Amino acid sequence: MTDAMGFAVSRPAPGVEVRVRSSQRFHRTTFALFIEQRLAPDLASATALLPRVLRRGTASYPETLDLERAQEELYGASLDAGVVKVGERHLVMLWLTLPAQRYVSEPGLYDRGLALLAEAAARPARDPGGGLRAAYVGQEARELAREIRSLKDHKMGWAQQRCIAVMCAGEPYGVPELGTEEGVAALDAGFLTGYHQDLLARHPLTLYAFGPFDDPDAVAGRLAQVGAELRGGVLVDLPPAATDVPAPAEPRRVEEWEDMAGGWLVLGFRTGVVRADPDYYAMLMLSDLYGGSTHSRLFLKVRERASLAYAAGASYDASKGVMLAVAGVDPARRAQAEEMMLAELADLAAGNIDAGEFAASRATLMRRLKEREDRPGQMIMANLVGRIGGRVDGLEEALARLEAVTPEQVAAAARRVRLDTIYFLGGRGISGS
Amino acid sequence: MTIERRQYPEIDIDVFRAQVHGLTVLVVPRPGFQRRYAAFSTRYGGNDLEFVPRGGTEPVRTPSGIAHFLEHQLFDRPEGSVLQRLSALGASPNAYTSSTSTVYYVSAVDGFEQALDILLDFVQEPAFTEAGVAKEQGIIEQEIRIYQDYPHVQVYEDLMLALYQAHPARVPVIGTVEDIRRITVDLLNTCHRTFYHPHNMLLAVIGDVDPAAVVEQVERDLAGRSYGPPEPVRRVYPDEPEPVARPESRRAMATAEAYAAVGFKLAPPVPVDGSAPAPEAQRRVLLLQLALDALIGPASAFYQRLYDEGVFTDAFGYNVEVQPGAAHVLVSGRTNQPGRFCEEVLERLRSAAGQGVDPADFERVRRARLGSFLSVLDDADALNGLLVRDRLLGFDFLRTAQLLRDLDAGGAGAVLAELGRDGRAAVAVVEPKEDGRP
Repeated sequence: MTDAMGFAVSRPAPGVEVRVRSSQRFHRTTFALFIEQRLAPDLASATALLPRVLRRGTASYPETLDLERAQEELYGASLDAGVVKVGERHLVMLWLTLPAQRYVSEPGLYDRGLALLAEAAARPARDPGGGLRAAYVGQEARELAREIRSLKDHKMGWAQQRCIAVMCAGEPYGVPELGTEEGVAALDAGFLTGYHQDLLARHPLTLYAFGPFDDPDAVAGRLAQVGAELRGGVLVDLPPAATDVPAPAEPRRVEEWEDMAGGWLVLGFRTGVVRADPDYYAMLMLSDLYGGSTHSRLFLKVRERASLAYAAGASYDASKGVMLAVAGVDPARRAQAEEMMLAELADLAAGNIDAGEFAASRATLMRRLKEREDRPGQMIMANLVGRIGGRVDGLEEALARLEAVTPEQVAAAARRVRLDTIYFLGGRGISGS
Repeated sequence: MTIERRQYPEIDIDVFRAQVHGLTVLVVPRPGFQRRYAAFSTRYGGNDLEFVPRGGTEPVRTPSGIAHFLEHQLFDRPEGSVLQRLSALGASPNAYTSSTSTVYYVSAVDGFEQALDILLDFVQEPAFTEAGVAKEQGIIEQEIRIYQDYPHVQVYEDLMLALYQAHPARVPVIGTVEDIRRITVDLLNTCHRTFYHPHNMLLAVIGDVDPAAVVEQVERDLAGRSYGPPEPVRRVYPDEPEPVARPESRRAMATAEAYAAVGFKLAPPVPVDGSAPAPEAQRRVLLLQLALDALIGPASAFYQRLYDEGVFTDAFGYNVEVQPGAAHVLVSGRTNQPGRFCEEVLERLRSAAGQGVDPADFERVRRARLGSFLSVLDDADALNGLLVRDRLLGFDFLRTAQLLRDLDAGGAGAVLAELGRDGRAAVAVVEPKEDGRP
């Protein structure tokens, strides 16, 4: 069968899915493998560390240097490993991109690439005792801890992460994608070896391919074979991908101060609307009207008209139903910025939406959906995230649903939005202009 | 109107080129892609601080950051921001300013023709006002402050100051707060008149479009505008001595991790007056990139050894940066030992200057470069960025696959020799402030 987004679907083993789409217009081929886990404080650091270790060496190329060289031999194949948080799921992901076979006249390139991907997932480099290489586990734990620390150096992202942590403390969604320094420090090769086995054997696993294939069925067949070989045991039951938690009666307010020049204000909202909700498209429209584009309220009113902020915008994570509004502001003017940001949302909720901005947001969201078709990586992620969130719409259906959204529905969606947390990250003792 | 077609059969890509009232128009058709992308660029960037204004005789010296400031201000129109008009079509506009160019671009699926009209119009028709300038000063001052909090930006700026004694590559594109405050409507108009002339500009369109229709649309737009006769832009660049300004720069700031950057100054392959580079210049730059891939890239024993020790991290990169009148190798990254990061990189590249590159290593990185070149072709943003950058330097990015075919390790060894010269290297380090230090 073929799903709504045009991926041919097969299920070669329990909990294993294969999804393949072909288009001749690309010069590049993308393969991806995902293993699903729940997002949880006691597991997140291990889930984040594992792909880094898998990326270091395989049974055939136990030394990282050899693995890197194997990729260069395959015309710059790029094997990437990482984690992604999708609502309250945490996924290990491995990506392999290759140039299209026909431009490098290398028959068998895809097979060799896929073999490398499968081996990275299932047959990592091991110590003589059979465990994952302890040296790699140690080095990658060190690097992951540094990556976690350096998140602080990207101030806007750090402020957003802190807002989520405050707002969703105690919920799985509050767990950081990369885990924590303490969590990482507690891990060792023995634990990670067993964790890897368990993930492979019992967790939902998906293999994707999107590229200029001459014979997509053959590619699907190869992926099915890889998937079936990876699978070992009975599937686990994962909890729901998003839990709905109401905002507190009085919004939480947290300020943190660091030695820096600027300031970042983040407002955390609960929308109550996840991807499967009938109001999903209305909420998408709301978030764009509020802060998704250059015609949006936050950009126009807070950044441009009031010159209050260098950067201002909003992002909506439908996998959890949370929306963040963020503004880079002079610490001395944070109260004014907060007031303006909230007033704009209230204005949208009151139904003061003019036809021009409404049309602009709809056209913008439609363009983004269409442009996504040009980007295999984004299509794969959208398909994965849609499956986890219970809604996979094809392009035509998504466009039709956006077309059907009315300003009244957007205002109604805005009235569902509740302010949960007001977070400010500010610079100490340096005043702005 | 003559439209010249250049074929790149080895990558199934054709490029159509026309000169429309002096403006170079490049169209890269990509059938089957949804996205249509147009970028309007001028050879005017952060480096172009001193020049003879169009129609004038004496050079003027402008404040740092003015090219970037102008870029922001062009979006401001009496009828409202251009961003909104484009956004209303569902198009996605943006712009960036580099040391040597300013690029305005728009991406659209439907309504591309309208978006292109708006792009052509707002870039050519400034409407600077005192009020707009005053507001922008506030916004850009905040932007400058935000950059000051980013250690990877600071380490780069510090390295440029260490490498160059006089060349404006040492001045940050964004400018300084003091200079931004000196910008006026008159200065902006002078800069626009001088650098935003069709002869100094380039329009690139990528996507599922008909080249003839694009050229015709541009022709219609330009026919209605009155530009004076072409006049070469006369930039005044100070002479840059060959040695670096200083070999080392250190800074402590509030950062969680240390950052290091190493630079090697090169003989500039593109002349300072922006005239065409020597025919083999693009090949030499590519060879140097391949040599770096082989010597310090992720598949080098050197990189892996230092990664194992934590001296190199995932945040590691290198590049050959070329500007008219300036060029350098840049190696930078996050590190646990900034001192060793710098020493190891300096030592590695200096010793390679005498020894060259292993042929097997070279063959591997050549394949890898071909693969990454092919990957860029599917990404209109990245493709445009590289196409425009190379074109403005007098290079042809799409020739990369052809060039790669003929390169060998011997050639890489020859270009590496330049890294062995004395007094051409500098390092910059940003370290976390000690607790309790003021």
